[in-house]
Amino acid sequence: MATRKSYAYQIKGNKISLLENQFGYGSGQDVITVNGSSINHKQHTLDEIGPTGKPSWVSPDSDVTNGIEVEYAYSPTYSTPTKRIDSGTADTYHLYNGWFVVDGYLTIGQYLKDWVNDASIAVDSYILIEGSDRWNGIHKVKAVQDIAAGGSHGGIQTYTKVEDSTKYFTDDSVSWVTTANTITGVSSSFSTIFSASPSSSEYIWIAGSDASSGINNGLVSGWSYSTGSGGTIDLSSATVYKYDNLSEGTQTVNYIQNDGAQAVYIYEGFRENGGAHFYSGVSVLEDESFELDLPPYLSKALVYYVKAKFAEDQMDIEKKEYLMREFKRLVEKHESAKISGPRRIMGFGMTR
Amino acid sequence: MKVQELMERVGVTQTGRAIAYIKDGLEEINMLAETHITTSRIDIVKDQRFYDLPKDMIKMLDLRCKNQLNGDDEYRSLPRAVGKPTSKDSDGN
Repeated sequence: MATRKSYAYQIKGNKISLLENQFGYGSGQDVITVNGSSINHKQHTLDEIGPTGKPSWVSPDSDVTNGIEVEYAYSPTYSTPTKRIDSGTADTYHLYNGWFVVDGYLTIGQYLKDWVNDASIAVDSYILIEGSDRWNGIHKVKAVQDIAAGGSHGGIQTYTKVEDSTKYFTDDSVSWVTTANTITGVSSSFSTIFSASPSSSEYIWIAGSDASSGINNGLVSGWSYSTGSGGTIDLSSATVYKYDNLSEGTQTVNYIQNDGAQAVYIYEGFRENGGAHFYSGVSVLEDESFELDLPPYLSKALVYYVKAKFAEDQMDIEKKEYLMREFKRLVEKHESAKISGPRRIMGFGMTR
Repeated sequence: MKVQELMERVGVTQTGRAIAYIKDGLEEINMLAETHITTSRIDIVKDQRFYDLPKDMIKMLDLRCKNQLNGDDEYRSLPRAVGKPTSKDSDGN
């Protein structure tokens, strides 16, 4: 039985502020039964409920995979291609392990995956990300690198700017050592930027090795750093994230192959927890041949809208007001046309 | 309807401006009538209060959480909290 939760939210800028209620009962009970389910409640101590004590509404107290579900409206400025995952270079459906930031632009990558030869992933083409914590939607491709070619990132760099400040480290000559599963000759600057003993939720994206299949590159957690051998990143206990049969798996130890005198590029990584994927070969609204995904009646409303905007450009405000009124009238008529019969209240919308 | 047909109905030949206004119009329609709806799931991280909204979101229709007031892994709608929480978070109030 999953643990019952009590959340509430607020909006701050473009973010959700998620709060969890840590409530207790004055009766002193720490477990109660509701509809046959045991619910743990904490009876606050006097220290917690005093003026300096623990408040009721706090940040979430546990990790929950896919815990938040946002239902939202989006603008249909693209059409999703067929989900094709059978052929390799002609595939349109792809998985990725995580994202990182290269020169301020969103970049995605997958372990052992070379996207250079994919016909539908070309520079200036569009990809559609779904299932991401943050990046759902259309992105234009800026650069694609072979993960096995020793490039500076080995992923798909997009034109999407990322405003967050993220960590980045590079060293122009290091060696990957297979017997110890380490990267040696790494400048001590690494440990001033990244943690020498990271937590389980810290990730890095490693690029730069041109070992076979790009096996030394990828999204990694659980590394450690020491100053021995000119600075060593120890990956013997690290986890590298990969995909097997369309589900995320891990490779824990002994995956490093020898590769010497290479540059290494290490970015702060953000893992997508296995649910993120993207479509390539996406058709977007950028020329006259694009088929608008709208019901015919709303297409007529859209004609009024575009006419109104052109009238506004010509400072013909009276005409613009008339056309906008027609636009709204058609949209409202289209909405009300879908409702028939009496209505019935199903429950209190804030709690169900 | 294709963009070309819409431009003919409007009586314009400037493709760039027409496409910009069509994009505006599609957003406006979805603000008013929500013709295209999708869902996105985000991981809850212990002690993290703030979560980014989806990049392509125009209008939020519902916000649900797993196990909200239930123990059956159901997603149920969240109430919107009024007032500031007394407990601040490390990534902001």
